[in-house]
Amino acid sequence: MFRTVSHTDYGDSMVPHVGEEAGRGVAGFYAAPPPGAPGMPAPDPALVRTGPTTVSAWAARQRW
Amino acid sequence: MTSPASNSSPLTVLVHGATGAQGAPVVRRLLAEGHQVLALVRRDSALAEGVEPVRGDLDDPASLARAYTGVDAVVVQLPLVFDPSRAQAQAEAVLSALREAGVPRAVFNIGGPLVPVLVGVPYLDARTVLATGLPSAVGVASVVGPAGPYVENLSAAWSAPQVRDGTVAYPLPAGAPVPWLALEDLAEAVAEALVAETPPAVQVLAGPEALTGDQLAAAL
Repeated sequence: MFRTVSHTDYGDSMVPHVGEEAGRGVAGFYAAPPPGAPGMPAPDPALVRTGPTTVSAWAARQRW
Repeated sequence: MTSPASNSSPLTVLVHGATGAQGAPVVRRLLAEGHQVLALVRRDSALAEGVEPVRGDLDDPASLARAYTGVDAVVVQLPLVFDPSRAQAQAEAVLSALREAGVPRAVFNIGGPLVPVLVGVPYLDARTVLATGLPSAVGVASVVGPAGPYVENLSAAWSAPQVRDGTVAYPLPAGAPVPWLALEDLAEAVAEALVAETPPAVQVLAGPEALTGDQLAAAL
């Protein structure tokens, strides 16, 4: 099951592991831009390179 | 993946952040390809077998120039620095040291979105400064960054317990297709850019499939 969490909640979960500054900073990547501010532009498709590793292949190699 | 024609001779490559989540896969890849790997370290660190430590500090430009001297290439990864008085200065120190040491080529792993202009966020602005200045600092420059999050975020200590219990909790809309990227694919792109005669100036790296939240949960 997938559940969307707020970037602040995600930051809360990171802080005990990486510290306050890094946890809040990284989680801030996922904050919505302020009203009226432009969002992050999508990358130029000409610059995109696709890697071979699928999520399922990667997950199968993890020690969960 | 395909790459431009490449030089197969082993290189001496200095790697920033060699023990970090993003640097370690790069180191493994470079070692597997037969390159000599140097790790930029501020203090004694446990390094992978075969990796030689070289002292240097992003807050000490002269130490960077010394560390870079004589290498064939540098792989730069900047730490997440939130102090505005240090973040951009570190990026400028890297550029200055690359020029002073005459480093032939460098690959910069942004580690996040490529932001084309300064936005007032120290660690993002540092990355913009470095990405923008790199082509004028070395002979061959290449910048790589992810199109989306890394799959390794899902196995991080703050996520893995929930994933084990069957829930992926992430700050993205459930319906948005996301091209999750594995760090081993990032490492492959970095390694190819280091040996390509004419690597892409900028690459945005994506996973092979864009998954919605439910598709992601099912794939795990």
